[in-house]
Amino acid sequence: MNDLGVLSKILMVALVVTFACALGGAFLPGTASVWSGTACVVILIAVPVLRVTWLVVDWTKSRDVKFALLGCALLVVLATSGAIVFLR
Amino acid sequence: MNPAALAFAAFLTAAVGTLGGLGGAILLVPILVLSGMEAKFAAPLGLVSVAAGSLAAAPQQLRARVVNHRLGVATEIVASSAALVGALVSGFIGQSLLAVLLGGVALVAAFFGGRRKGIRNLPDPSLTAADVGETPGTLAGVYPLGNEFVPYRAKRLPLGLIGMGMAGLISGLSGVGGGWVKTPTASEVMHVPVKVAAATSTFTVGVTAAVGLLVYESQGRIVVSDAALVAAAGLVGGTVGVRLQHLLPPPLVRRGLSFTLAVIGVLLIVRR
Repeated sequence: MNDLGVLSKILMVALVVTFACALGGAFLPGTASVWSGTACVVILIAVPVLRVTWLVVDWTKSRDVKFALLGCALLVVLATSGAIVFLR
Repeated sequence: MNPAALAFAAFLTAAVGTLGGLGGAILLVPILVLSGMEAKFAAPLGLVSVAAGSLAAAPQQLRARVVNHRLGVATEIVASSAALVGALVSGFIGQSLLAVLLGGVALVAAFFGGRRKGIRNLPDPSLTAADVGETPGTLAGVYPLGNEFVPYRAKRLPLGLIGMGMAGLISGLSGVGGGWVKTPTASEVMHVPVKVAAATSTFTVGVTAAVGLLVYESQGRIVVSDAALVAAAGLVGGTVGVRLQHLLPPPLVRRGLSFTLAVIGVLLIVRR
């Protein structure tokens, strides 16, 4: 059984932190605004990748091998896409 | 666009995008472009809105166990691969032709979603709250509908994967995300309940948006102050959207989705 309750709590913390950073990026003055806004964007990028990674680990632990492999394949596709775009 | 109008547009599109599993960028980007913003700066803000809506919806959707992650991961491999191909060949297709294609796809999806009556997946009285969630090792599960519990199983996987591939291709070609194709594909082609389809699509569009944002960040196309404002409004809008999704009956969500898709289709064709 997936422990989605723990993942839900982690995502709730990420949601609150992202919201605080977003408000900082929108309303703080000077460089604090830039740092806060950048942190917000970085979290928005990182969270979905971490979520897929969490699922892969969870499925591996619960011996759902087929979907753990599919999750790994998705991470490889995402990494490859990122690498190709950066190299272009 | 002034900051208050930008925040309102981001709030509204994230709420509608999360409610229907559309993503929101397909709504926000045209609004920003029509208001005078350059498309190259509007597209990243659209993806910020999508990512924010996806994050805002996640905790509640996970608690409700309405997302089918196995379906999302399985279909996202095809969608992401196709999105990469689309992005690589996007320079060879005219924007006018692309807009007509996108509009046509939206209108077809609106037609098939809107003409269907009733609920395809019916509650099973033998199921309990303990059965809610995904079934390990399969693309099946159970979702709560009021006080009842509805079993479902994704059908016609090959056809569904073709649809998801099209969604990815369109996303890569246009840069507006593919949630507005993914949700109707899962619901109408794969016979996944619309609420599960929308929640699963909200998860997968977050993944796609993350890759897109990485690209835009590397190209220096993200205006941080605007992105932060859109993210804040998108997080609030996404939270409202997912609460509405939980409260509204599936046929109403499906009709709302069809109406929104029809509007998008007409806008895309008229604006080309």
